[in-house]
Amino acid sequence: MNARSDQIQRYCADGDQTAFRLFYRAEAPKLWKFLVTRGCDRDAAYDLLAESFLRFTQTVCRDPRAPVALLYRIAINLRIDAHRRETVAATDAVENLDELPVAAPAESDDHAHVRALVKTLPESEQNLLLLRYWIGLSHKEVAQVLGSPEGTVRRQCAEALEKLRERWGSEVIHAAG
Amino acid sequence: MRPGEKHIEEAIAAAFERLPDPDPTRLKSLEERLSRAAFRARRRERPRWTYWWLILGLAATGAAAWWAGEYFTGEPFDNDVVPHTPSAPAFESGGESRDDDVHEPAGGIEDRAPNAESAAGTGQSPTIYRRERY
Repeated sequence: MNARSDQIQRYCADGDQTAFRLFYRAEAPKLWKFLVTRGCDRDAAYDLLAESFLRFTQTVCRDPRAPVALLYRIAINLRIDAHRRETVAATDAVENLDELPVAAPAESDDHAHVRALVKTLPESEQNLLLLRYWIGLSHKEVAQVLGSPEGTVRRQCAEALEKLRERWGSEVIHAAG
Repeated sequence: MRPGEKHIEEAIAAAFERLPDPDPTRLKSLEERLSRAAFRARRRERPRWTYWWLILGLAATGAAAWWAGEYFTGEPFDNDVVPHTPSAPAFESGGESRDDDVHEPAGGIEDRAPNAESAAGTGQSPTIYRRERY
């Protein structure tokens, strides 16, 4: 994350376009995947990605300390706006996640199983877990993204993980039975 | 058996990392557009500072011009003026004045003025000021 912050600080201080491009190349694919998991159509995800980065360039230099958190905050807000406009249930789109082709043909069942388990959680908890454990944001950054106190984010993360553990264990028991 | 938290954390990261990647050509075309937009955004940020520097420069120029005007065209300082010494405080009680502290000659101003003129007229005193004759 520090490398990302350095790149954006170079962009803001010196107008370094190369630093901005490096930041984009590192974050754009992951943000696109995140938007798709949040229920975006694949084409709409490109549009939201472009809009997110565009707004990001207009605002990041006011406070370039946590650029990744800012980018995801913008993206999530845009996604919510788009969702309201389209009046399409996010859960429907999330259910389409497993219809997407996987990156590698030999994907283990564990991955699909974990995604299915995560999908059973409320969307706010899904966001928490994905931002924290997939995107790799710190608790403080996740709190910035979601606009919640850091302590609340820590507690909610622990609760969401505990739910997943319980469901994981119960499914294994059901499968064995 | 319930997995540990660490295992779940790693499983989440791995599961979502395995999702299909976006089309690189579309990402590349977006990158070009965003780079131009980012460049324009940075250029828009600069004028704010430019305006402040311009205002500061104008203020500095004005201050320098004012100072220079005072320096070159203003009245020169008269260093020969004898500094004013405060007079002795008046005594509030008794209404008496201390004549001992007043270093005036015995005669008043009225007495001295004619003497000074007469001395200048007779050439006994140096000419301090003479009116120009055209």
